[in-house]
Amino acid sequence: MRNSKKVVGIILIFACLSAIVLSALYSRKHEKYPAEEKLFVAMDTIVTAKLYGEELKDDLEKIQGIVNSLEMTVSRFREDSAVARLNAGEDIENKTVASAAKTCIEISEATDGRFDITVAELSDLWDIGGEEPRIPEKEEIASAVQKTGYENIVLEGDALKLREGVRVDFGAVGKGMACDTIKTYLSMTDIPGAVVSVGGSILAYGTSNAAQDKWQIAIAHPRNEGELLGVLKLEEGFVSTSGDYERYFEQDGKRYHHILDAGTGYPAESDLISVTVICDSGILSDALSTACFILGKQQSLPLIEKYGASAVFVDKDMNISVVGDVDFEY
Amino acid sequence: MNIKSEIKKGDIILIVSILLLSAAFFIVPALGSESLEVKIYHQGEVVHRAVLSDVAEEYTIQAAGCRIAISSSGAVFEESLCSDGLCVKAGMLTKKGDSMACVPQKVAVVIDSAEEAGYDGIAY
Repeated sequence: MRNSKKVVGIILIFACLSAIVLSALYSRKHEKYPAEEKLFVAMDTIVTAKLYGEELKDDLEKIQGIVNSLEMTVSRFREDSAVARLNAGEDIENKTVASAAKTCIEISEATDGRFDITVAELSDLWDIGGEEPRIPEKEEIASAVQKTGYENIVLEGDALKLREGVRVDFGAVGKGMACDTIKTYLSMTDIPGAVVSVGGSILAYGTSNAAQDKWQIAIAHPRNEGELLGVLKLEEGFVSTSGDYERYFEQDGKRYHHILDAGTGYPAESDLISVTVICDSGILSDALSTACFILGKQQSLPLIEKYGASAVFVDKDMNISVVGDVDFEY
Repeated sequence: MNIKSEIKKGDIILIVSILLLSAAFFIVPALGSESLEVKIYHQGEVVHRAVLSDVAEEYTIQAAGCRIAISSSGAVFEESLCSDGLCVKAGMLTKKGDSMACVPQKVAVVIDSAEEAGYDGIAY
């Protein structure tokens, strides 16, 4: 009788301990550090920043300031921004703009000019995502294409000027640039981990807050709104997606999206509907995702390899292919 | 002595109950349908939030120059003082991840899961 009570007691203690251990494991999965989060509107989009750490001060406010400041420099729609002045015909000297232009020119060269930041005239013509999107006349497009060409950007050190009639638009890389700038700031702090989204361009910085030690970044489904395509698991890095589903209009059953092929002057038409690029630079992940979307999968592969990036391609038949060293569950 | 015969029914019920409670802690959240929450931000601060399933009757919120209607189906910019009106043209936000910002008014509306998401961010 005494023995049986002992056995019951042992089983009870074991059951209670199991419950405690399971609960502890569950909470560990979710928390390493306390988190602070902020959402704000900047660069014509929604920015969310989530910082993890024990001693967060006014870091979220500083990050907001960094993004606002970058917007005041690179947005062509901001009066008096460096880029607005450049587009107005001024010679400018600006390290941020010059550095971004250099990277973009490099990608332009690698894509035979099909990715090109001198598409401002074309973008205005199509106005996709704007108030009055329309299909321009062929003559209008031909005339706008004449005003494009990365060779028209004259870059000497930090000094830039544009040949007459040419205007630049850093919209394809602005969000990635913001992610780069935020990473530079974070690396000067003691913040152990952060995840930032600038209009869907992601910076996963430092240590993940989850027990599995990897950041989990979902990719939006390009056709089923509100659904996810899958989840990337990565240590650290930048993730950018370009697709035909974010900003577009339809006419006569055809979709006209906002990613323009500078070679044709029309929205890019490749075998792809979405490309996600993962790499160690925000501006590169943005530029490469746009460039790959324009080029199509096969032509993109050397580019992805050249920059040591990884990519998730989705083609028009919803075939998903993963290139490079990346863990993607779908 | 047969130990098995000495364990009372009550003891077994107690042990099984503890184990079932532990399991339920994990299983129940996974079974429930996802609850959605609308959050309205102005200049980086949450100025209003509501769990959609708790909204019995449609109502409106004024955030800066924007009037936003919230119902159990979602949220919509009804009116805005901005010049382009793109936020109003966006229509109803109904699904998880739907978001719209009125850039001139610095107002954003986001539909999110009321529970913790299983990922850290969404690339789009």
